[in-house]
Amino acid sequence: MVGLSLGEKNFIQGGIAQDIRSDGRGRQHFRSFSIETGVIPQANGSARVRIGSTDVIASVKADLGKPSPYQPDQGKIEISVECSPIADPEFERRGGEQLSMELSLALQRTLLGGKSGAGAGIDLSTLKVVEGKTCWDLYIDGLVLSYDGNLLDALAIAIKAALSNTGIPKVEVVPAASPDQQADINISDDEFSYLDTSGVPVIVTLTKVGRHYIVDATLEEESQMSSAVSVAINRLGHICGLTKRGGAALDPSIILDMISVAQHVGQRLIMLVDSEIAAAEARMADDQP
Amino acid sequence: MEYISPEGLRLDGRRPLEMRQLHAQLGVVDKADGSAIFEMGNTKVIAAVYGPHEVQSKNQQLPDQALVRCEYSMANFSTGDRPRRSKGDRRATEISLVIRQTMEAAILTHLMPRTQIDIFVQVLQADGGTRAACINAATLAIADAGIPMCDLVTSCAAGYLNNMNYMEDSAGGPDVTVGLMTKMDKLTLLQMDSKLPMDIFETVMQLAIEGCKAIVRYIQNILLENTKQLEYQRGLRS
Repeated sequence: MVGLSLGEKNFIQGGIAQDIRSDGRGRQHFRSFSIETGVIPQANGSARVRIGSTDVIASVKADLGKPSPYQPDQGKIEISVECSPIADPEFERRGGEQLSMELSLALQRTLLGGKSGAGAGIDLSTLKVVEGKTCWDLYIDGLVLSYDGNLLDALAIAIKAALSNTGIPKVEVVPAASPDQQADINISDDEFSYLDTSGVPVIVTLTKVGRHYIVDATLEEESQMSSAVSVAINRLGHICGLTKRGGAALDPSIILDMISVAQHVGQRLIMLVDSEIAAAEARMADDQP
Repeated sequence: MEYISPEGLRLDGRRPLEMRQLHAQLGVVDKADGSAIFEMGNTKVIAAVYGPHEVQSKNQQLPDQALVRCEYSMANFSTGDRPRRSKGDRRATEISLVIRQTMEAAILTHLMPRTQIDIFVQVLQADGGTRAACINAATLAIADAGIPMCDLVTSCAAGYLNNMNYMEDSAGGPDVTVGLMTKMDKLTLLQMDSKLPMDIFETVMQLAIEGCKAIVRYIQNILLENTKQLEYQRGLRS
């Protein structure tokens, strides 16, 4: 991105202070976004989310695997994000690795809960096939195609939509004849079960510019930030995860205020996201013969 | 396994010499100077072009022409199974080189000395013919960026069947990928896998060249439509 002049920087900061940002939005106004599901036919579930010029794709692939010995009755979820060089020449070769790592870890923290699997957005015990032997492994891959700020929120919405779109094939387990034999597993080709994604949170990132914080920053606004706090909020208004970025120190009372703003915006956002996902799925069902 | 049914139809219902359905769109990445998405059946590729801009490492600067760089990447979800691909793997490096050389032959690099043009290609869905789809997408993206080219380069892959998908490609038969500068009728890329008798090779190469010509007709339509849209937007045409 070409650097901003001093005049442009002042314009952005001044606008935010006066609650009128460069594109006319208020500080707590989210850009309108569009969701498209089923964009990657070879994956079990996928979604593409566009917020302004930010464009991300999330895909979910389900494979049978062995559960962890500490949680034998749960499946496993792995999240990995890649920043494509088409989004920014800086991401070529290994340039995007740092940002990709940061995003992957932030998403894992908010969506996967603790080490025991408690507090995860998806109930991992629904992914169990044969206790202690077989379970479903979900691999969630995010790809950033175009970058105009607020990647974390966009990826969280894309992952939520992709998980809603994910069909896990129904398995039929034929129990083993004896304990040392493997159980037979028949994977259905046309019957699928869908995940319950009502517990999956969305992420609201609050970017502090000057003395105020804004929701859904564009790339220009992010370049002026001193720090940013990303809060994951689920449907009940509970906080599922928290990440602070940026070097500037924040007064604890400001963080508490940011969290309450995030909760307020998040609850509105999650209702909007749920209705957009439902609309996208309806559109996809209509398109199919 | 049967690749052509007794009625003469392939696995996806096409005739042996028939091409897959093409779909292309310009301007899909806002930030890039030029971008395009190109679909050939189930193979879907996005290309983005940044440039011409200042060369990043001054020692690579060329005094009399533009430096063309290219990077090819495949998304983790692009194929049916999900191999963890490392960024610098050999196949990606080779394909990046191939695309760069093909486009460099067409771009009028001597008009933009001491600059750099970056071509990035991202594969979203891979179903055979990714190399060809990438070159076609790159041509569209470069045209969208307004970078001057001496000719449109298109590419198509053929074996015993035209424009094979992944299943047909994995059958182990020959695979000839051709890159053609269409108006000048000159080849800029020729690659082949497996082995072919010489007389059949000529037929297969002709098949691929026919495919290239069909693709360029489609690409020309897309570019014309795009220009019309731009004219409407600027009020030059009512």
